[in-house]
Amino acid sequence: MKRLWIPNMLAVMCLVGMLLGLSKYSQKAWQEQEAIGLSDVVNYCSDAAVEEMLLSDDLSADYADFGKITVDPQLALDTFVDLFCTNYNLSLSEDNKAHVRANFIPVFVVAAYDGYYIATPQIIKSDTVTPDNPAKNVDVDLVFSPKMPYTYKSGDNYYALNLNGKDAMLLNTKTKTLSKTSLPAELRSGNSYSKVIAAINTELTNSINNAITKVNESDINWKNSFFLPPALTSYSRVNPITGPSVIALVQNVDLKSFTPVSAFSVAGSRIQPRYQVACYTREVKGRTVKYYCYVNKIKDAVSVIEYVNSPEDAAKLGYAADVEYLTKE
Amino acid sequence: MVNILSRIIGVFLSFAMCVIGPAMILGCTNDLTMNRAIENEMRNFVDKVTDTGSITDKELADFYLACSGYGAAMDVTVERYAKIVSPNGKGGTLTSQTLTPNNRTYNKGDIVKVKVKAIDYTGMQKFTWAMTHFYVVKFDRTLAGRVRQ
Repeated sequence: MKRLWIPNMLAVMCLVGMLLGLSKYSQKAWQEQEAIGLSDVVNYCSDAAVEEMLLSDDLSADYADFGKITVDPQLALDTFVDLFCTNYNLSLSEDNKAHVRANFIPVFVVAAYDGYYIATPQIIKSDTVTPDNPAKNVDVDLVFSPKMPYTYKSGDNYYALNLNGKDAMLLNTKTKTLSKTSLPAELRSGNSYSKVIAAINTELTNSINNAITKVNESDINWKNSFFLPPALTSYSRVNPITGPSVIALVQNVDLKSFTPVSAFSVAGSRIQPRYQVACYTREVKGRTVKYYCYVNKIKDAVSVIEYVNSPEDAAKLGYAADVEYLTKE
Repeated sequence: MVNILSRIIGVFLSFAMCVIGPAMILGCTNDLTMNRAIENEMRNFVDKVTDTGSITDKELADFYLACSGYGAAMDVTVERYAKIVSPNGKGGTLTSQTLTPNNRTYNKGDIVKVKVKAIDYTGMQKFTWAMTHFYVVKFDRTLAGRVRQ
């Protein structure tokens, strides 16, 4: 009977364990929630960056020129950082933006049609500070590399691949000149497009991994690596890079959580051609009906009256949806 | 005498372990579900605005209701930051995002910012505070997107 303090002691220890467990649980819960929030934020930011960098360009290009869209990587990064600051209730001052660029983004990649720009934190010389250029008033900032080609080595030849997967540039190592050529032999056979895309994604993955390793080489806790799939993966629904994209990694965000959220968020966006909407008349059971449909879905010869940009515009003009064509494969 | 005192303490401790602990963990899990649900609502709303470029009264009322429908009353703010491009005096342009009072119609490039903040405490937060004096942080989240339309 005198030993009753033993079970009581045990109970006290259990109670303390429970309290510690609860505090850890709520902390983890908060951190997980922050990580999910961060990945949402990065998704929206890179979407905006892609939109903005293409907005700046002339998009009245023909579909034949679709692959030749040029991009402005600095504008993409600025948009990304602006929206990131807005998401975390930071004012859009140069100091805040510089903080985000220097501390949270280890690598920012803009993949274009025939090459990519990769931005990594680099030390900026402070003697370039001028009143006109206050953004330089930081020690570390993201600096874009020159445009790098999607290189591919075949035998002794170096090729620069394109996202269209049809042709490539061959580097003449003697004269140091580039010439347009067909694909290297081993990429040409079989499904050449997916092979080219796989080669490009491997190149991108390698250079992003190199950049991250460089940034984190002083960080002993860094154990993550990064992978861009060469083909559509069914279980995680990740697409390979097949068009102009923004790939942004954000790490160690400590704006709202107790501990830095080391969420490893990757978000890419892809541009797809948008087809115009054709408005036409078609004979249905002896009657002439006004219809609209996307131009790529029209299979028969129809008399097109006009082209508009969206189904909404067509409907406003009094055309009805041509369900027979629209639902066709 | 010692015997009785020990028993009383023992009963109290076992109550704390068997009832209070699980109740708090359960409440915490419940709150997490609530947070995720509200976050999904916010994402839906921002997606809708960035795609259509406008908010109707009904959509806004639905969103308010959806955010407060998971347990805690939420304070919802929808802000519009209009994209203003002005000349910088040196031949170039200067782009800024300006908070505007009209948050119903959006132009391309505007930023819609949704802030959701809890104004009261959930049952779990009150219970945890009463029992252990742990303060579980209130829900407070911001999500912003750029209008595409």
